[in-house]
Amino acid sequence: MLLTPQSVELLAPVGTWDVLEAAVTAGADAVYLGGKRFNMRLHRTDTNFDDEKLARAVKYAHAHNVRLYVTVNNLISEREIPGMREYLKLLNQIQPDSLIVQDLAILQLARDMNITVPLHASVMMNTHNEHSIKTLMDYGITRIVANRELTLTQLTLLKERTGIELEYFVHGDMCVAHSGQCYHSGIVFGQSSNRGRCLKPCRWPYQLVDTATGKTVTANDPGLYKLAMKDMCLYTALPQLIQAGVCSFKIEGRMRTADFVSRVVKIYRQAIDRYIADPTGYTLDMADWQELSDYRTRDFSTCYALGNPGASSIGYTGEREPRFFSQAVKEADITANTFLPTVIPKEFAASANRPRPQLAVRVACLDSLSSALQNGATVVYIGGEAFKPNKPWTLKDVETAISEAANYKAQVIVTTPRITMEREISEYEQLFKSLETIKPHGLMVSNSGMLRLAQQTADLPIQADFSINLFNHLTAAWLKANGARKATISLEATYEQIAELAQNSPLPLEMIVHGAIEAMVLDHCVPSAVLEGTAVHLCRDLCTEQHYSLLDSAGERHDLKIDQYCRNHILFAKDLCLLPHLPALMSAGINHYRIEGQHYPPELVGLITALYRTELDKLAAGGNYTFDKTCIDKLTAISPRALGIGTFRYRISR
Amino acid sequence: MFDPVGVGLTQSMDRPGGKATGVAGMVPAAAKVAFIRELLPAAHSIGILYHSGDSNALLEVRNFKQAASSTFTLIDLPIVMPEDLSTLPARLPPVLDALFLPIGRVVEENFASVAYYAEAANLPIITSHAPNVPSGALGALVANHYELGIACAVKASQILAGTQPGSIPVGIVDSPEIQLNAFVADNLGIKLPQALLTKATEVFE
Repeated sequence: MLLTPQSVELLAPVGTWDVLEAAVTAGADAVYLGGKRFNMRLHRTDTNFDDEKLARAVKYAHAHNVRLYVTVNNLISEREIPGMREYLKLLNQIQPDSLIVQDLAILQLARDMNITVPLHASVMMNTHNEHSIKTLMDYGITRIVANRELTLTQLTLLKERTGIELEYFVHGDMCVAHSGQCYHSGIVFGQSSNRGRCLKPCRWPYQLVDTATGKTVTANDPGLYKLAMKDMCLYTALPQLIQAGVCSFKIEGRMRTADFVSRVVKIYRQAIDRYIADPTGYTLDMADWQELSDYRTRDFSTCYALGNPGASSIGYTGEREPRFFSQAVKEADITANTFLPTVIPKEFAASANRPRPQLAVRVACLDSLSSALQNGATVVYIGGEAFKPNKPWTLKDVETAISEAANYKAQVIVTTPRITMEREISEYEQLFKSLETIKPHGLMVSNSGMLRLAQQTADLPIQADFSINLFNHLTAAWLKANGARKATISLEATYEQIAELAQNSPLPLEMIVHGAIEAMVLDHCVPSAVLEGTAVHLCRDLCTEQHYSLLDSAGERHDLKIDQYCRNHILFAKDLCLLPHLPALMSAGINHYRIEGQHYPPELVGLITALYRTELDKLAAGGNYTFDKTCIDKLTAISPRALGIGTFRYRISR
Repeated sequence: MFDPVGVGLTQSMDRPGGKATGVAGMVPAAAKVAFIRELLPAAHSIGILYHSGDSNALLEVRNFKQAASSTFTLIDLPIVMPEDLSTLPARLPPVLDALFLPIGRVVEENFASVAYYAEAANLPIITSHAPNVPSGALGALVANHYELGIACAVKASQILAGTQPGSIPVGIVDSPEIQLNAFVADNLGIKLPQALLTKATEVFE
């Protein structure tokens, strides 16, 4: 395809009016900014635009032939829905060139409210497969901000298969974890990275230790900042980027100064214009490259654009970190204060029409499955990620699981991985075909693409996992409209938020009440990068013999679980345990409970299942309920990690 | 500029001497002590949490100790590295009524971790950095930077009229503003005094 000056858009971040003017003067084709409400940069009160200034900014940009996009990329809580409606109404009046959105609820709202401003899918939507893109296109999304883990080759493939406009981060600050799937800040601090308040635990210092001994495994530690991603810079790869079919080159940094934005925009502008005017005669401008480099914040990396960068993408020494947002803290333990209603009704309407509370358990192997079933699980989740040393579930395993569950009249639900790029998608498409004859009781999907694939190719009931980030009933309605029959509540919601959501939800909601919870999921392999300095595919199976953890400065040990795709899943130091709070959850109307048992040995899976089953049945029977606190001591003694209360420490998640 | 004398920009606050004068963003320590007194009338024991490698923090700690030693029992809580905040609970004395945070970048930036532990210990935080108030401090007495700009402009006009900069005293904040966080107060079970609520420039909910 022939290039024209319109083929590529240079998109600059804007936090204040002077940055807006600077970006426009420097030659940005488009700018993106946030209003004072609902966007991903809510820390600083001096950035972001109030309503009146937003309207003026749109006029200013349009007068200069520059497009302006407004970020509305937050998950919204139940209580924020009316405010969001108002905001969308306002935005529709001032007509920016697009709204960059995260919450699936906005897709529904925009449709219901006849919003005419085009919608772009934020990077926080973690869009990384063609089926997600097609679903989003059905809802009027005209462009996706692609996952930062996608390579240029994968982007080309997605573009060719769907025709969507692709926007890609080409310069600036990056996350080490998959966007929209990082719960570290949200659960520990009650300040969610999905709601614009990330406190950046990935920038903390960590030691890499052996999980069993707690001893450091690095003879030559490259440095403590093992998750500190360098800054993205694709200046040297502009020809590849342009030819890959990416139409919008996004510069990160809505909190950056006019000087910074202006310099980066000018340098990229010149290079893009020179390339488009004369692609074959194009050479790198060494003076500009030097200038970019001289004024860099962190060191540069091409991140995932040209392939998994491994150790080369991490700034281990921490020397160039511009600032920190928090330091590691001891996670709230099981004895910490909770924010729960002070009076919980003692009677739980033990009427005949209240169904027995469902107890689902996610298991890693057939032994654990038996253990869960014997102890009262009504649903078991199998499949999806297999964390080493566990092996993935074979078709035969699935069949065995189903026949075993039949003895207990329990259901077997086959799950799918959280991240499903083209490899996983193809594998699961084949699995769904096989499941037509094996007939499990249902499927659990982790992203909108898998939801679509399951809906179109499998004749099985579908439910949505926590990674969909269900924070309000409109998202539940969206899921229902797209074929889901049950959904899981976001791990970041607090009790108050759960109760409000449950009241309005059109779908039955499942609540994860116990187990090892993942703070982050990474395509970056921490042990192979630290120990061998390699990218993921070059490693010598470091994780088959040994298990690793990251130890933070508060002394908390975060176990690293590595799946069959070599993705690293970083666990919280404390496993969630809401056993004492079942009465409150019951009174909030929750009837589906889940234990994440995939990181426990079979005996422990059985024991925990039995404990929850007993308490749930006691509660369902009605009458005077008392909780035996000694079972917590028992649980604590045999759990591989300490127990904590997650977001129940907070009244609301901000 | 917080401490023009400390960084060698001026010889003294009253007579800068050289070619520079202006306004320092420092709120007088006595005013902060009076503010804490009014906000937390029952407080006796106050911990001062600061980064010992920060000259601004050290100056304010010195001033605050001078102004507060007769009013409060002061407990010194210096940190050497940012990571020291991770183990803050182990360093807090058993009896403590509030934390005072002098100015200083490291503690301000990593405030979330301080607020996290303070909340768990039911401990109110008085900060010197305005953005920490909506992030979980109970209150602060801070400079209004717009007014500092005006005060600075007055000095600039004196210079333009012929006065030597070295003879124009460096000003400090004479009308600091009160910021309070009602949500935090509620969580801590503290009733914000009506007089302070009336005087406050901003009360976060």
